[in-house]
Amino acid sequence: MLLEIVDDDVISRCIIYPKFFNGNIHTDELLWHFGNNKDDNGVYHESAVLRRLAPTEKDVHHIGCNIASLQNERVGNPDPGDNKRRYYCGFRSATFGDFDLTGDGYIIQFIHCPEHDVESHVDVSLTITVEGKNAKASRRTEAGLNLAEVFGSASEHICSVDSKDVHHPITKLGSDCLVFTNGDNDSLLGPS
Amino acid sequence: MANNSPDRDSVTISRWSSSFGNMIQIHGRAYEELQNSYFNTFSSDAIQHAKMVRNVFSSTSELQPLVYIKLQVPRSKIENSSENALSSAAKEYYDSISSELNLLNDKDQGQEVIEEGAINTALSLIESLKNAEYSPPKVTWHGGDAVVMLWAVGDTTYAITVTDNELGYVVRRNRKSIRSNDSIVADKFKLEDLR
Repeated sequence: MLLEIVDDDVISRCIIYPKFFNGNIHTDELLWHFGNNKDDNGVYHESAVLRRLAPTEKDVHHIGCNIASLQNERVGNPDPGDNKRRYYCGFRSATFGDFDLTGDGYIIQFIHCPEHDVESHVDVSLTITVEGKNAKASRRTEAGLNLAEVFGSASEHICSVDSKDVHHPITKLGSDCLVFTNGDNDSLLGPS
Repeated sequence: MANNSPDRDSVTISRWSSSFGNMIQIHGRAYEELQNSYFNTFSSDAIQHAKMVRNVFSSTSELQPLVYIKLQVPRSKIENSSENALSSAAKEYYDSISSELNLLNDKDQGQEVIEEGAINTALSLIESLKNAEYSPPKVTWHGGDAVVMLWAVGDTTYAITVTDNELGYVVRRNRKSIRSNDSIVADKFKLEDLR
């Protein structure tokens, strides 16, 4: 059954290394990196978790570990430390009602869409309504920043399969690798 | 690429704040260390910037300077002073960005391949930034046709999206885009510093 996502719903985004990392640090602007998955209509797609259907942290970590596992399988299960190996590192959450879903030249939609046996899967689509290569690319950048600004700090996790892997970012670098910089960081006020 | 003609399109990358805590935003322990050790030390000008960059680089090679502040004194004065760490650290980082960009068109690198035109335009902008002594940006890419350069100052994020011979920018603050434009031909684009 497909659910309508409402303002009080909490949306989570699983953090996968290295896609969401700049070097060895997860950064806001890579949390929503539109551009990899585009359908035939030119709409970009990413995934999220509807917490109404995955209410505990353990639920989301389970989903995240499965995502990393699937991605590793697709590239032949590279060895620990291989630059093709993916690691699930945790998730970040936001309240749906806090999103600003429209901008100048783009529309973001969150639609409940079970996928790969994950009931809580949400399809996050970006439709760009302007023409031109740079105009479209600039909207991808802006939409990604827009969404990421609403998400809180990470709930970190190391999957059981990675528990002895010294190359896991959290094992190697500690929780600092998940520090984020934008949005609600009250200790860092902007220039006047 | 940078041009000061008032009729050219422009983006304000940074405004100056006298408070170090308000001005720089970096990651984790290094920020805390810098804040504790240097909050009252930094005042203004290029020496301040040099210290910032030097300390960011000396803390760990994984950290990146996210602040974008143009030097206030001629380069010659910096190079003649004892506080010339900015030049070497920033140059080193710029070189690493250029190397990384050059690899984005190499299918053997096992990562997303970016259009050569976007890479070349980004390299040109990077060269302009480097020559103008700006703090290096954080560089990412997406969609196979775009390189993104980012700076963050406090709650404000500045992003330039580079495609083949064109640039767009957005300035976001308090979850709003307060200034943006796109499809600016590269040689019509200028970086503006309005401290």
